[in-house]
Amino acid sequence: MKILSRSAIIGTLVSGVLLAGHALYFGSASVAMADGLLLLLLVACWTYLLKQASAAGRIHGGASSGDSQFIQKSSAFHVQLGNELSDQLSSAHTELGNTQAILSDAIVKLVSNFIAISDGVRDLSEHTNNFSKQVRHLIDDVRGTLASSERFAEDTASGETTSAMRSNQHVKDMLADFIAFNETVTQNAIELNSINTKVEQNVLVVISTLQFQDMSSQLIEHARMRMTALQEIANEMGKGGDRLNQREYLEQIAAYNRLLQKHVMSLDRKKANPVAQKDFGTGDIELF
Amino acid sequence: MAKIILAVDDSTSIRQMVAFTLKSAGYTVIEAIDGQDGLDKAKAQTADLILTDQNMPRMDGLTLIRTLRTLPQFTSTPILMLTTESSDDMKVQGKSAGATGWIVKPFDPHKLLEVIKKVLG
Repeated sequence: MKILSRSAIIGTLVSGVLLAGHALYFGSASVAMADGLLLLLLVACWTYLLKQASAAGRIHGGASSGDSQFIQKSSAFHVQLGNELSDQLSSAHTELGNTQAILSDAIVKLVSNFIAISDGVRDLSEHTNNFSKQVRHLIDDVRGTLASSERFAEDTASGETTSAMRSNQHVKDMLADFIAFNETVTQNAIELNSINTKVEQNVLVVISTLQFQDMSSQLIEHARMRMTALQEIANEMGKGGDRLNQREYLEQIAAYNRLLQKHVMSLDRKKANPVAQKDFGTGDIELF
Repeated sequence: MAKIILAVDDSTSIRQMVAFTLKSAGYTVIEAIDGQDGLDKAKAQTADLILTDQNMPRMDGLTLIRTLRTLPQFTSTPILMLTTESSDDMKVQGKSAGATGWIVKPFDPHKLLEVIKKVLG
């Protein structure tokens, strides 16, 4: 547009000088008048050309027809790219969120079940201990009763002694069975105590391992935060603009850039990821 | 009488694990779901020790510690951070906020109990 304007102005000036020279050289009033008319015609033509050039400049923001086409295509591509990125990021964001929720739910149930198993074994162990104690008390009671019945038999007449001693023997046999039974119960209680300790130890190991969910959850949350920022930029790109001129197009690019910088700065502040571990060793402990 | 420990973490599974570990060692455990809840429960009930996560909604662990340290009843209560954050910068912030110690997740239940026993004296 600038080249065309300059050509018009220079052309008008050169034509004016030539025509003036022509009029002066011939020194004729009719020639001067004809040259004047010709000059006016030239000025009118150049003015028309300037107006056309100016109008074209207004439409294309100073760009050539090729540039304008490029801007339109590039702008349309940005809109398409923005919309596509936004859709994909939105899906990935939702999928990660669902993964996080499923993982969290599964781990909570898993931990609850492990704890329930551990509590169940502990209860069973305690019940068995109590049962063993009860049997032991019962045996002690029977022993006491037996001792008093023996004393009673010794004090009674000889005829009754035989039946009393026989009865006593039955009680002694029963007591022996009781003692044997209690030994079995006691042995079971000891074994259950040992199982309880092992189960508790195993649950504690499980506790160390299941903490991966907490770490994964934080990593997922961090990734989702980044996705949200990128999605906002993609959304802005997706809005785009129709029939942009060069100036508007450049303003739009600058706006994307500003938004990008804003998010980059914001993410930079938050980028210190809370999870730095790459393996699964338990963490350090430091007392201040 | 059993010592009372306030466990503050926004992760349900971590709270379950901490509570199980501490209860199995005979401690009484109060659970709080985030820093604000932890602050409310700490004010409402006495705690012999506070175990808190760092990254939580509403109020993070460092803010909770700073707030608790301004309250007369918590000037000397042991407060341990239990977090995935392991950077030196964060530990320095924790120390200056008034934390008694820093435990990086994942925690080893046996080591956790050892530290708690040591801190509680």
